[in-house]
Amino acid sequence: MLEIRNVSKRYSGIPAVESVSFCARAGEVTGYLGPNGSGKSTTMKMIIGLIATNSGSILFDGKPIHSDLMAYKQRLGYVPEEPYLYTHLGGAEYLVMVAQLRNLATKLATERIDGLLRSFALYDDRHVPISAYSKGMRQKILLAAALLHNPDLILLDEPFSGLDVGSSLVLRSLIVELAARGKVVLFSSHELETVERISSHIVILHRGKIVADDSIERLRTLMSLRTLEGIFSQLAVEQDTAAISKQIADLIHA
Amino acid sequence: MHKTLSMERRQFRVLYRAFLMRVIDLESLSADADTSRLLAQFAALFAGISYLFTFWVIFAGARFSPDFLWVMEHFLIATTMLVVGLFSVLCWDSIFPDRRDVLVLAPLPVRASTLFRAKIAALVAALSISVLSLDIISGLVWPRFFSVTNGGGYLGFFHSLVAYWITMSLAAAFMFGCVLGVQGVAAQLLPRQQFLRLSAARRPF
Repeated sequence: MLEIRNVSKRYSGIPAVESVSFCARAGEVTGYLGPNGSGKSTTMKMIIGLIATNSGSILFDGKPIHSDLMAYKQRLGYVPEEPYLYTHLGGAEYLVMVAQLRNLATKLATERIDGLLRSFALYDDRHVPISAYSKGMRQKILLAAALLHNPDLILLDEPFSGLDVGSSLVLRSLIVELAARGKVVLFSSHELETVERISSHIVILHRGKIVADDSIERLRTLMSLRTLEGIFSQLAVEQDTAAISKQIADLIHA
Repeated sequence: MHKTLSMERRQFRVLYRAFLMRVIDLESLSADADTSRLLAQFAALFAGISYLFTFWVIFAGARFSPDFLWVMEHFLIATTMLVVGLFSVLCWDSIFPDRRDVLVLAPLPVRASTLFRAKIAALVAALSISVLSLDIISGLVWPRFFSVTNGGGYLGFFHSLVAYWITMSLAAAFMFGCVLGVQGVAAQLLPRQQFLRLSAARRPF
């Protein structure tokens, strides 16, 4: 189980997240939602140990992640929001590098890399430099790199970004399948429909604070709203979307 | 403990290879350049320059005045410094671990110390390869003539050879240190946007 306890982070005194607490349990998919700038990616970066918290603690299986960060990272798979990769390497070469850095046995790594590249339809382009890959292909490489070592904790920050319809459907099923196999899955996305379909637990962040932390069913019942979109709009969207869209249309029409 | 050490060694080797191939900012040279081929081409080019400094000695005969030898020593040192200076500017972006290194490696179980050691080792290796290839011929031929000033003979040649390579290595290290210093001071003093503009301005070089 992943536990976030009263975590706060400030940048130059400005709070990015404030007293955030929630749990992501093994066997369930936790959807982490929030508008742009609400602190989702900051939380993700704190969970992977990239940035330090100002206060609070992050625990995985009851242990603070910083007590043995290297052992924790051995069990972590992370797909970042932006596809940062070594673009001078080929797709397969990049995955080999990741496997070596994760100390995977060569034979096992080769089998898994071949299998993942075939499953993600990248096998024919495995020796092409990543610099020539499309955004979707880069996203697939990130997904393959995150899953290569069979992690116990999977963090996905906008994992559907750039993927085509077919690949998105595969990923959607894959997330559910991984959770069913006992993994802790935490993912953030702006695609509310997808989040609603695959998440059993929802955490909504707004202006750096948690405004909802429950199962979708309970949120629907509590708020008397039928869809996640309705729940999200009520909790985290401050703008009058209809008025803004009319304003933009009027502006370009004038 | 032993397992951790061997894992760190393996990670060091993997990162060293990855960084060595990225020492020169290839995107400023050509978008999809083949890194290993490009490094080999650089080495071949430097070796060619080294040959240019040397081949005419055969036609000039074996005797040079001390003044000429003095000028030649200065010329070889200046050339090494110039090449290393240009090389340092080319690898400006890869001197320190950048945002990409951090974001690529952050989720992986790699210690920051391993990352830095691999980065430094890759830079030192690339620098050594460039100095070695630039002086590969002149560094063997010219000490033979410079040895005249310290008595000649096998011992004099040996002294000149050692002095030549130490001088070139230190000249290269000095030049690289200067560029490193300029970058460090600029990063500390300039606002980030201006520093990025300065980094972009060196691209035409």
